Amino acid sequence: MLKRTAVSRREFLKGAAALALAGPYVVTSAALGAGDRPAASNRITMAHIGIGNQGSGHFGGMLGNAEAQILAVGDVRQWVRDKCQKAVEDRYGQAKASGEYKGCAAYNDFREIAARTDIDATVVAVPDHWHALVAIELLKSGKDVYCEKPLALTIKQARAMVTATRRYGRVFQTGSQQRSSAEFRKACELVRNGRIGKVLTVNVNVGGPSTERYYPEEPIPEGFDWEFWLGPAPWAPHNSERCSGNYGGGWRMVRDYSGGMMTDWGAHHFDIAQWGLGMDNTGPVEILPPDGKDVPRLTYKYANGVVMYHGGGGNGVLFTGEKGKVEVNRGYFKSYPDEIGQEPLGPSDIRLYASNNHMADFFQCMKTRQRPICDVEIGCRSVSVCHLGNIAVWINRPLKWDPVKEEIIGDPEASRWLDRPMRAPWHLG
Amino acid sequence: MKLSTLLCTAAAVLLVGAGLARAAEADAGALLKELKGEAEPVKRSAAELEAAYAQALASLLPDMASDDLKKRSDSQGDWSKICLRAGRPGAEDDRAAACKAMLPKLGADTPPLTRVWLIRQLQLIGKGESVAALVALLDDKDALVRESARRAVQANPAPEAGQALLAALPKADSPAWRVAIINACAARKNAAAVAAIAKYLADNDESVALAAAAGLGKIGGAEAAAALAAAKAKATGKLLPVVLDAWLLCADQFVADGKKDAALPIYDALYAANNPDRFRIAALRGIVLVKGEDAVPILTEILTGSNARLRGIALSFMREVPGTGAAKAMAALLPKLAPAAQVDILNELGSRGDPATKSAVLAAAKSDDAGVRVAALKALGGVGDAADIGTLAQATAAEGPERDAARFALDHLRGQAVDQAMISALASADAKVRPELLRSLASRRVAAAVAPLAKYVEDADAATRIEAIKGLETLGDEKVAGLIIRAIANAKQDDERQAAEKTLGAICARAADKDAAADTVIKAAGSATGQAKASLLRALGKVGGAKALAAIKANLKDADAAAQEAAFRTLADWPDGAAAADLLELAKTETKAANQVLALRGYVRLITVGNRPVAEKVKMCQEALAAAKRPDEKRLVLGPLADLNTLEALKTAAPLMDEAGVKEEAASAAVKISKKLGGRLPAEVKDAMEKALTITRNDRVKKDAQDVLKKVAPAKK
Repeated sequence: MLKRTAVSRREFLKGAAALALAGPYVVTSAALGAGDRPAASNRITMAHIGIGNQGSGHFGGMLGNAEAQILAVGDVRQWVRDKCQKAVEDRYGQAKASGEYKGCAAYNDFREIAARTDIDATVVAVPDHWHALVAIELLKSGKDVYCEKPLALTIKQARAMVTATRRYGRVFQTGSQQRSSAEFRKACELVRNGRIGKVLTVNVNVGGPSTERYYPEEPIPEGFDWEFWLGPAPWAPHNSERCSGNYGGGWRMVRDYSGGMMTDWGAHHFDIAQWGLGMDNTGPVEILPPDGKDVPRLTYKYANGVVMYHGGGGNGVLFTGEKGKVEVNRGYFKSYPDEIGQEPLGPSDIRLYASNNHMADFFQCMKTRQRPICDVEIGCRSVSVCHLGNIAVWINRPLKWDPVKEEIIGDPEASRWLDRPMRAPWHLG
Repeated sequence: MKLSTLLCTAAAVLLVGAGLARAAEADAGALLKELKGEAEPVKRSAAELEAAYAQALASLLPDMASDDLKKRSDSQGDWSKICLRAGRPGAEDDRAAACKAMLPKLGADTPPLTRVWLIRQLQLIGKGESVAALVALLDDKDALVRESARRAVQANPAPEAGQALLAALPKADSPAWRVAIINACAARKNAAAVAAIAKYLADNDESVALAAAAGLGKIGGAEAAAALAAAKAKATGKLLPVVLDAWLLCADQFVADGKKDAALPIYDALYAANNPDRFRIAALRGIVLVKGEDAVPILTEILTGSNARLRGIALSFMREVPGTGAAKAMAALLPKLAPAAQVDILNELGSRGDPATKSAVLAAAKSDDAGVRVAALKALGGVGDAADIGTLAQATAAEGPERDAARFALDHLRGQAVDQAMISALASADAKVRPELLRSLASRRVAAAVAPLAKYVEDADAATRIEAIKGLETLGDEKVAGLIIRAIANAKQDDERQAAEKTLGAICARAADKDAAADTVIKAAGSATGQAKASLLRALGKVGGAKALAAIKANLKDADAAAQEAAFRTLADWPDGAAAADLLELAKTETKAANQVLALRGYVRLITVGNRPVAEKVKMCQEALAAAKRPDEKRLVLGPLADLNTLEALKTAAPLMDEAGVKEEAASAAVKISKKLGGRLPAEVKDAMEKALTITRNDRVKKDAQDVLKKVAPAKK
């Protein structure tokens, strides 16, 4: 194996950052110091929008983040935002001689958070059908954004988020945090460096698409702004299961709000497949739904001949090459043969962007103005893979995809699924 | 007519009616299957298709608004499948027929739930034939129907859909509805709507004015840009930022359309004006996109200015400017910047690799700031050439990040001239530099470096020898095997011998003729002793094959303790199943506890190596359990056993639930196996799960066991 491997621009920059001794010099707010907890005026000022299952994890972590100061919380459930506001004020109050702190505002409408000029960045963890609207409003208002995966409800919404990020010069981290886990990085580095030889297939083990769901109407709990929760989605009567944040159920399985497990877990595992294949700026060219005959499972074909299957074996993501296999999931790594995973990378091998903490990487990039490990473009491309699979399954026919123009070829009715008209007054900014 | 006759007649009529109903039901069922693509299609004319789709819809329509959610879901789902299939390429008659079937059902006679569902299907497949019916619904009394129809018209590709929306705009009966119509026109990028929408920029209702501004930005074009430019002078409050954003969108669209001249004045105005930073930033990026290298002076001004927020953004934009001019400008900036900023610029210069910036990078490599020196050394890997080999090799004498950066640069200097220059430099290099050059030659995978590396394997200097040996691990072939075997025999220190052992293993593993490679190493091992022999035996493990295996087995009783241990460990780590029988035998008979455990571990590891049939894996587990002497060892076997999915596997694991020291693990394995059986063999699984539940204290295992029990023995209703 005498082939030398090139270092991409992004990898060079990240590698350089890893070697650098000097701290950041670019700041989003007045100053972002290093060392111990900075003075309040020097912390990164944060807001959290959507503080349910996933959002509460981010919120709890941020409360303990010495570099950050939470100035605002937003949620359409009054009891949630009140509780979070109190949590912030209690936590920060402990550091005050008076024991009191009144500096965290609570909002029902995210646009009021966007309008504030004293907030540097926002964590967005609302349901998927809201991601694009909330994030774009924040980007337009000059805020950096950490947005939960899957990036958006549609491919066009995801592309609009990329455009807005670039247009307004913002830093955008997609919450596909497996990119900040060593086992996934190792697997992808091995694949990218040809340790399994030419890649033949990838198996990605995630659940299936969302569907239309039918629920009986239930009373709207007091303090819950149901109309705002629905937002751009078609109107539907309230039902607690319809809007539950329950992983594996709830709104994640309703087509009007999410792409199901295909996008929810796909934004993790398909994302890793794209990373390992070096497809972060592109995607498959053909998508075939299962047909019960020649195509037993949802199948993607890339222009270079790699075939990717939805399911079909392996734990998490299974890369199969001419010389071996690499299998990776959370806390799990295995190579076949074992030696593939044991031999360390050489100095000239491709080293992927290394992050061991997704939120810390976001903070670092806010300071350096570099693109983070799961930049919005990556989030867009990964969720596009998921959505294309969903579309092919929903309409039950093969698709041809142009990953440069981001267009479905020769099927105008399938193309209508690339976006969804929003319920007025909402529109994609 | 007698009563009995009447009754008979009535019964006959009822029977015939029921029969006809069943027949009609069967026909409808067959038709639905066909239209969903689940049965062979029947060839039909366009008119017959329309009748077929109408018939199919008629059969589904009654349940589409049913209170029975299952019925509603089934009927709506079936119709959705039919519509989506009708929309396939090359089936225009089907698509049109499906739409035409829905159009007469959109009226108020149909329940609202059904109307909304049908409109949603038209949103996905409707074209010109659907426009008139959908537009009629824009005035519907039911707000949900009206809004659904608006979205369907918005998504309809027919030009008349755009015209209809434009016509609906002045007739909107409320600000909210006007906003909705403006949004729809804007989403369609309907240029014909610009003048009409522009009128609403000054609307008294703020929501309408905001929608008009945003809509014009989405549509873009000269007319929209002019309207927004005029509005910007008068706009205040919430409207002003929306107008500016929209104007910016127009400029971006001009750039996308290749009309840079039209875009630049907008960007300039937004950047130069006393606007909030967010607009200035977006405008600045536009300027960079339009001007390319000509934008560098503006960026330079910002980078050396006092606006910290803009400085960071400017640097990120600078990265987007291609060309030598930008690279040179960045290089020229270096002395004017704070150290941290220099680091960022140097990283960028390194990734660009423009030789024109080399002198600036070299100057930075002498900075007083350690971070700047590190970044400069690394950047030299991108911008440097063969002339910089010496500088970088000398720099590796430093410690920590500077040494790492210098090594990175040496490994990444570009061009074949670099490889040759590095080889040439070996002869005159001193004892500090030469190992670095050897290391880098290997790292660079320079095929021509094999001979020079071989030359230094027996050098007087230890560091040089070790790097040469390590280098051959990557580049060497069996031709240098003898040299490496000598290096093992003559090694003066452990790290040297270990490096040589690794290299020999790698060379042999790559050898085309494995038997010949094995012969060479076996012969050398025959005359070696102590650690050298141990190294050679371990290297044999990397060769694999029958000859190597036989040699390892022959050394299991070697009088030399180091050699014996190496033979044992090598056998335990054997890469394929060929060693399984020997390992099992040793696991049963070996008297030294450490060796017995090694052998058993090796045997258990081999259970999952290769593609053995499940039955064979189970048998191996049983053999391993029989050979296992302690609970620890039995637990080891339960790992691979739990991954199997046969009754025999379950029967092997289940009795261990009675064995002290492994009960919990055995219960867990039994549950895992049973889960994989997926409802098969209910009696055996039920017994095992009930037993597991009495044993396990692990909640997860308990839950899994209960889930399995539900599958194999569902509760009676």
